[in-house]
Amino acid sequence: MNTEFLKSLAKVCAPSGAEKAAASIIEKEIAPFCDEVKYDKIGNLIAKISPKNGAPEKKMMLVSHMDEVGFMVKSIDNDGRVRIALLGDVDTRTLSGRRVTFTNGVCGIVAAKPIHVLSEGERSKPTAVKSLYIELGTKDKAETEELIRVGDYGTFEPKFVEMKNGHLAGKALGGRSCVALLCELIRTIDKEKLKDELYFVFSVKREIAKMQFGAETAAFTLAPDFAVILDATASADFDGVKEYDRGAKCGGGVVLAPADMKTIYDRRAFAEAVSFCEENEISFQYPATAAGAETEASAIHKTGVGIPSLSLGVATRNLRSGAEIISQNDLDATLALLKHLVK
Amino acid sequence: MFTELKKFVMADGVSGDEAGISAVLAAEIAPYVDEVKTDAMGNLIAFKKGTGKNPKKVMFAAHMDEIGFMVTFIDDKGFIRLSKMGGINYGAAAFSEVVFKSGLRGVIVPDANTAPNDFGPNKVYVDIGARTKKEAEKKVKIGDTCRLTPSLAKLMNGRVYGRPIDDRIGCVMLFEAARTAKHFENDVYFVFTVQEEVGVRGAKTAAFGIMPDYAVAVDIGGSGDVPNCAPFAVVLGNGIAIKIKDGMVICHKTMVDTMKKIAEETKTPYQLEILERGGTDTCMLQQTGAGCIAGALSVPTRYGHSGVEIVDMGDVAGGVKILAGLCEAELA
Repeated sequence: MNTEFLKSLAKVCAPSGAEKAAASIIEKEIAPFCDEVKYDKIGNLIAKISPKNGAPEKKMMLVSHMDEVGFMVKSIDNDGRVRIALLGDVDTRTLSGRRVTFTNGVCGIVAAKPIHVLSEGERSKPTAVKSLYIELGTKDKAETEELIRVGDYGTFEPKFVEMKNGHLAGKALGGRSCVALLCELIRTIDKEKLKDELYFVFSVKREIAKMQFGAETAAFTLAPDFAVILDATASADFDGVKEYDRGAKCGGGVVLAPADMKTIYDRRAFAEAVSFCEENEISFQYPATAAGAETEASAIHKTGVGIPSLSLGVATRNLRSGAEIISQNDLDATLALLKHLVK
Repeated sequence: MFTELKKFVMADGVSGDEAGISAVLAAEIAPYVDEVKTDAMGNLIAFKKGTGKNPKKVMFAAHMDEIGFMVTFIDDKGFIRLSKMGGINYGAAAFSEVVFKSGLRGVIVPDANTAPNDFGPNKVYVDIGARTKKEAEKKVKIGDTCRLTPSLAKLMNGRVYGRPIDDRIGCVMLFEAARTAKHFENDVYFVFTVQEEVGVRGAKTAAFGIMPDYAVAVDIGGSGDVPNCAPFAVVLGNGIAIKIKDGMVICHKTMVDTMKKIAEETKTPYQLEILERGGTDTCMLQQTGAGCIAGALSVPTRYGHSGVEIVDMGDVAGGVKILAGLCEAELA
């Protein structure tokens, strides 16, 4: 898959609740290929593609979230330092010393009590979020407030790195690669041959899953016959993790899960996807464990009278850190399966 | 009722994979209702039109899924790792026989040197006798479900034991109510829900599709009469339990009072259930869409989620009378 658009998506700062920057570039990218592009009340971007010939057979929804984990400014100290509240399940071990960016473009550095004054006990654990702050170089609260305000949003600093063997690294790459896959799919759809009505949902607020899923309202409004949910799947393919606890392998192909903690995926769709991959030599894998995993399907499949759902995962190392790692091989496999699913 | 219960217990239906039990229930209940259909989630919905002047939409829900396991990983030697579907008691499951839908048998065993208190999701595996991964993969696929071997037998005093009595006993009660109701005043939906054990998922979409006026979930409860148990007023053999509350719902007073009234009129012994933890389909029935007047009947049960669940068929018969009464009653 061409990664040019993914590169632009990776540079966007769009934490849960402030997804506008991501939405704008996605909208611009897909608009020429869609029959309709609109936003629902909570900010999900919904694009429709209808068959050119005849009435649609079924209504299909494809979902990928456009938000990412990040933070919000909670308070500003008198000395100008910024205190934050996290948005989503950020890997807090990776925060200290990180460069961050606010949605208005202001840059800062996450700082904490210096390591040379830490006790043995403090050194052995990651610093608690309440003890971290963001340094902007300002001299006091008033100067900080010229740059940012309480309630402003930020994320890890974007940096896109191409590594050996088709590996890519950057913040939010797992989720954004799913967005890029849907955009690539949209570009390649042949409306002459299309039979189903397709709705592409670029959803908001996936990362704050403990509170809500933005995709749920889109599912309720669209009430599709079937839903495909794309998302990053945790990869723990390192030494020291038992084979059956490793989740997915980065580079092991598109992740097909029969179930996770919150959803049992449509058994028939799952079996068909597996058969298709086997027959067409599309590299695929099962997550070795369901522990801890969930997707937006947890809300979607129970919406209305029920929506049979299938999950496609992109294996992601260092999930929800400042540098997620994915493999282009997995993106190609996922795209091949997606093209088959759209009829 | 024992014959039906045995038939329902033997049919497989691990959460998310309920096609086996669904087919059995559909065939059994079809003669007593007007229509049988399956919704997108897989809930089986049997509908009987009422003939009353002012019929209400009444929904009964018993979950047809059972706790069990899903295959997540097969190692090089052909040992199988599992994900749990529902609240598995690993102490009760270890060193037991499991059966797959194909009829393939295996045994579930903890990793060597694991203390009983540590038996858990990734500390047990299934041994099907395979010598290699390849051999195992010929019989078992990732995503396949298996369950502890079903069984049902009679004990003293009209009591029965086995598994999965949770909640095939509720399925029997819905079936018996459909069969024995003298007439149908109300439009009644007998719903056999899916995926209750993994988080009351099926009842939500079934209730949304039906939008009932009144709804009753029928499921197993507990029994406060076994050695060393916590104080609990409901005991085996003292009658069906009418739920007042559990950890996820406070039942509608109208529903509680209506069921009490029917019990008193039909001289059916009943008990009142107050649970501080846990829940059943009731919570979803109450909250879905615009909501409804929801309540529940609980069958007093010993050793729930084990291979030796015990219920008293006298309690069950009482529950059927209340359900039949709701089919026949003029509701406000």
